[in-house]
Parts: sequence; C-alpha cells; structure tokens
Amino acid sequence: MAIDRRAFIRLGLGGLLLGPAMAMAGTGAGRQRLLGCRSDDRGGHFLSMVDVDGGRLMDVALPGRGHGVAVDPMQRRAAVFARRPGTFVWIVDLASGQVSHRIAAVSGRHFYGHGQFTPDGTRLLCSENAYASGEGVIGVYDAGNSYRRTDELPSHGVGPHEIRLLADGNTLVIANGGIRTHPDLPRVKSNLAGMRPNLAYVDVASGRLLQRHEPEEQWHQLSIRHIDVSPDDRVAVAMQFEGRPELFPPLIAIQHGKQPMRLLSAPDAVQRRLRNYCGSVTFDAEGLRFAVSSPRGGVVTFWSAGGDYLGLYEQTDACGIGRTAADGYGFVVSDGNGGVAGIDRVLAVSDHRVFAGYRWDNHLLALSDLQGR
Amino acid sequence: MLNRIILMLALLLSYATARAYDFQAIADRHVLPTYRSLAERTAELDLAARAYCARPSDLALAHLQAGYRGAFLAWQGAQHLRFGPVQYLSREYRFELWPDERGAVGRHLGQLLDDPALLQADFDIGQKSVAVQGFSAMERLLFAGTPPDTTACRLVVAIAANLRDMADGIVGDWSTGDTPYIRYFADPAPGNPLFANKAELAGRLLNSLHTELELIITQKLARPLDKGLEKARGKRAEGWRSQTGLPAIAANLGACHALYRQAFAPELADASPHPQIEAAFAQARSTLEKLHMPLADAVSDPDQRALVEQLQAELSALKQLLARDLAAALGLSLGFNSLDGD
Repeated sequence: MAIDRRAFIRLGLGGLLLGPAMAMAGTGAGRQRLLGCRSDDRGGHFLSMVDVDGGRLMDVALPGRGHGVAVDPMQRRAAVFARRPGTFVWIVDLASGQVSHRIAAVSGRHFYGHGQFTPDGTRLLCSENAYASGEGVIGVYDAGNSYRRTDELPSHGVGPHEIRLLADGNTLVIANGGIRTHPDLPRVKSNLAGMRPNLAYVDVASGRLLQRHEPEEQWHQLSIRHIDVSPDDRVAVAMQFEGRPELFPPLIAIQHGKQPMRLLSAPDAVQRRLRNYCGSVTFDAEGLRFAVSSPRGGVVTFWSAGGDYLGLYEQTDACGIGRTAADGYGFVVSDGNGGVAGIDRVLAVSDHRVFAGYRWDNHLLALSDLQGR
Repeated sequence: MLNRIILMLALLLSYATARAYDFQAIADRHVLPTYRSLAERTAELDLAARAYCARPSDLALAHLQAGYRGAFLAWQGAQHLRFGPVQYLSREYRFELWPDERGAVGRHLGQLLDDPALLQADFDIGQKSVAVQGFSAMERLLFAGTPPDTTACRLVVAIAANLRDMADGIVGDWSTGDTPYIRYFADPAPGNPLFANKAELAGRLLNSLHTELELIITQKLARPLDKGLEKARGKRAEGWRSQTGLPAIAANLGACHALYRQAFAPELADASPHPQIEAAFAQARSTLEKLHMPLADAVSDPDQRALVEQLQAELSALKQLLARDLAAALGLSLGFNSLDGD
C-alpha cells in the first residue's frame, strides 16, 4: 500500500509540474522532447534538445565532451556534467537555452560525469573524486546560492559514477564503480587488478552509510557504473566488466530494499552479445520494466523489475535511453550515428529518426516525464 | 528457373565479395612475432638493469641504456596493436605514458623517489602510479646526466621486471591458457563473443592503423613542431632524453606497413588504392631517412624542420588513403563510438 501511495503522489506531482514546463518550451503537446550530450563531426561538443519529430530545439556549446544530464523537478533547469575526469558542470535554463551557472571542480576534486537534483530543486548532488586519496565523494551544491559548494559526503567507495535518490528524497544510491582515476592521467584506469566496486546507500543529511552491496569476489572487476531507480525504489544496475573478455559474468543486477543484490544474466547467446559492457539503464515510467544498452554489441536488452529477461532490440552504437510517459510507457534510444528510436510499450520499435551530424553520447533524458525527480 | 539463376548469381556475387582475411596468419606472422620480440627485448633490459645495479660501471650503464633503447623500440613496434591482451590491466599505459601533458611522470617519479616504501622489501611497483611503471619513468632515470644511484636502481630494476612481466603476460594471454585470445582472433564468426564477423575484426585492425597514424601526426610530430620555427618545443618530443623520437616513428611506420601488407594488401590484390598506399609508405620512409638530427633538434633547424612538416603532411595523406579509400574499397567501418564508452 505504501508503495502505491508513493507512486500516486509522484504521478500527481508530475502531472502538476509538466504543464508549465511544456508550455515554456513552446512545442506542441505530446511532442516528446529529448535532452542529451552529443558531438558533431568537427570535434564540437554540445548539450542538445530535440523533439522526436525531428525538431532541433536547443544547442549549448560545451568546453569539452559532456556525459550525464539531470533536470530539476520543475524541468526548468538542466545540469550537464563533463565526462570524467571532468572539471565542469553547467546549469542551463531550458526555456531560454542560456547557461546560467558554470560550476568548476574545486581544488583536489574532479567530476565523474553524473549527478542529481534533490526533489525540492534546492540542491545539486554530483559524483566526484578526491583524487589525492582516491576516495569517492558527493559534492553538494546550493542551487539557491549560485551553486556554491556547501557540503561534501563520502561516497563510501572508489569511483562513484551515476547516483539516484530514492523516493524519500534523502537516501542516495551510489554506483561506486571501483575504478580509480587521476586528472594527471586522463582516462587511465589505474587499479584494475585491485578494484572493489559497490552499490552504496547513503543518508544525504548525515553522509552515513546505510547499506553496501558488492559483487562476489570472483567478479570484483565488475564495475558498477550506471543505475536507475523505479518509483517503488527498486534499483536496476548496469555494469562493465574490466577482466578478461572471454569470461562472461552477469552484467546486470537488481536490488530492492534490504535484500541482497541479485546478479542477472541473459540467455547465453544473448549474454555474449553484450560484449561485457553496459552503457546505460533506465526504468520505464511505471517501474515495471527496465532497458539496458550494450553499445559495443549494438543491442538493448529488456528486463522485468523482478529480474526476468524479456528480450532484445538491435541498434548499432546505441547507448542513451530515455523513458517516455507520453505514448504508453516506452523508451527512446539514441545512438552515435544520430539515430533516435522509439520503443513502444510492447517493446516494439515504433519510430526511428536520424539527426544528421549528431553523435549522441552515452546518455539521453526524455523530458515531460518523471525523469527529473 | 529464373529464380534459380538469380539465386546462383547471388551466391556467386557473395562469394566474390566475401573477403578472405586469414586472421590466423595475421596473428602467427605479425601479432605474435611482434609481442615475442617485445618479450625478448624487455628480458634483455631486465638482465642489463640487474647487472648494472649489482655492479655499476660505465660499461654496464652503456649496456643498460642500449637495452632500454632496444626494448623501447620493440614497444614502439607493437604500439599500433590496440586491442586484446595489451589492454588488460591498463598495460598499454603502464608500458609508456605519453603524451604526458600534465607532467605526471616527473611529479609521480619525484614523489616515489622520496617514499620510504621504495626501500622496503615488499615494494610493489604494480601498486604505484601508472606514470612510474614503464618506459617514460625509466628514461628519466637512465638518461638524466647522472647515473642511477642505489635508490634509483631500486626503481630501475622494478620497472624493468614490470616491463618484462607485462610483455610475457601479453604473449601468454594471446597464446596459452584455457581461452587464449588467438582462438577468438583467428575465427571471427557468429557466436564468437569478441568478433561476430570478419568485417568487424578487419575494421578493428584498420582502426588500429588509423589511430597510430593519428598519434604520430597530431602528437609525436605536432607537439614538438608547435606553431612555427621560433616556437618549436623540442622537449615535447617523445623520447628526447634518449634520442629515440625518430627511431620510434620509424618503428611505428614499419609496423603499420607490415600489418597493412599482412592484413589488407591481399584483399586489394594490387587494385586501387593499394599502389597509392604503398607509394605513400615509401615516400614517408624516404622523408624520414633524410632527417639526420634527433627530432628534438630537427624542429628548430630550418631545413630539417621543413622535412618534419613534409613528413607530417605525407602521413596525413596516408591516413586519408586508409580511412577513406581503403575503408570504402573493402567496405569497412572505423567504428569510433562503440570503442569509446564510459
């Protein structure tokens, strides 16, 4: 019952908040807007907003390659995070397309590429690295005070990547990927032999560790990188294996409440096609199913919230996945060749469009839905 | 009847356009010899390091420096192979960290030389910064002007052993064990978890060639050249301390040419763009041979600098031939995005 009530409240809030957001963008009702980082063919990097009918609504030129995007609960502002090891997070006003704030990494910290607004929109949480010690931290920024960095929480692991708040608005779930990086050595993963990734639940108010889940010892090179949370607080986990490529560990996991993390494998022939690499994970709007992209294998797999493998969909270089609420609880999938595919609620491809010259990066956010929570 | 003819024609056509690509031969004749050579040269370096540090002398130092150059150039001859076991455990970065735009090698090396852990019996270089584990750090220790002392020797010996172990590890991962990498490399086909078809693996090899040429053009040559004669930055050249900058590029190009001949030339069977590619490799080699100064000095000499710039332009043309003409002729994709995730 508690779950139902929470979901009901969320849907109610969402309905209230979506109206003004859509009016601001000035696009027709029901035309799904998408927000994601992309590159062009000439080495330029952008945060871009498009709609599923091919409209190009916004381009914000970035100083480097972007990665994750978060929107506030009102869907008025987006935070775009530099790709790790990143030095910038920019706040963009979605109505005007103007950059309102440019947050620079503080001394001794770099950004890891993801973050979240709190449900009241007053604070922005960012995954960061205290690189001298290698400890992961969560930077807390005050949206009401020019995004001043007001606090820092331990991530309780190394290499925090994607983070998500549970429905209570105060429990942060952190994918501690386990991989140590240093800004002196961009892109070098320096501790693959000794990595220990984990999924940590942290109380935002106190920074206290509430729960921690680790893959079993034999799979200690299974980097927990991307997560999503359903309306009833189920956590779907998408991982990347840093060990030998001919081994086929489970790459996906589901974790709920105080239960242990459950590792999931697709049927053998499908599992091999994932190439030991998952790029992003997204629940549908109802939280009944989730989709996981495997860009190296060019496939997206679908799973039930209970952990059952449902099927796959092929799209070359597909990585970003947004959830859509507008047209029946499906997904929108973007790829490095500019493609955007709509997946309807029976997991069939309902639409495919190419934005010429767009190299969609790893993550995609569908607006006018509940994703900004 | 007509259907049958169409079917036969289609079969004939698909047979004619199906590329042969003998990946077993590419592994046996190019990849494995490359890594065995790296293993032999790093084993020699390891011996020379231990010999010098046991009984330091001018002769032993000269032997050690020669061992360094031999092993470093063997690594340069393997640098174009950017897939498989060389990437396990970040090995490629641990062999050499270059370019090092943020000065990590010097800084992390300085910190380690002051670290008491270096002198302890259980010192494990594998637990230290990637920047101090390979050639980039060792070059500073061997070509600093003053011969390595007892403290530096701890590190020289540790780095040499690390290089040897990594090279042995690559050879082993390619060829031995329950699931040697060569098993997957030799037979790209549906069901193969690493390479689903020949075109994918051939594209990966082409991407390796392209990436190596890009590295030479935009880093190895462009960084020391900078924006003009007055602005030349010789000390940005790879291997300027050991004067291995141009020999390294010669090793890179020789290896790229050898891989091209083993993997792609048979598919073209003398048709375009094979003659153009051969001519481009020959032209670049000829220009390289006219450079008689170390790269670090050549960029500041008006005549030699012009040759370095000429080499850069010739390699850009070669890169275009591979990325555009060869890829089109063989129907291959360089596949940038799926190789570069987060």
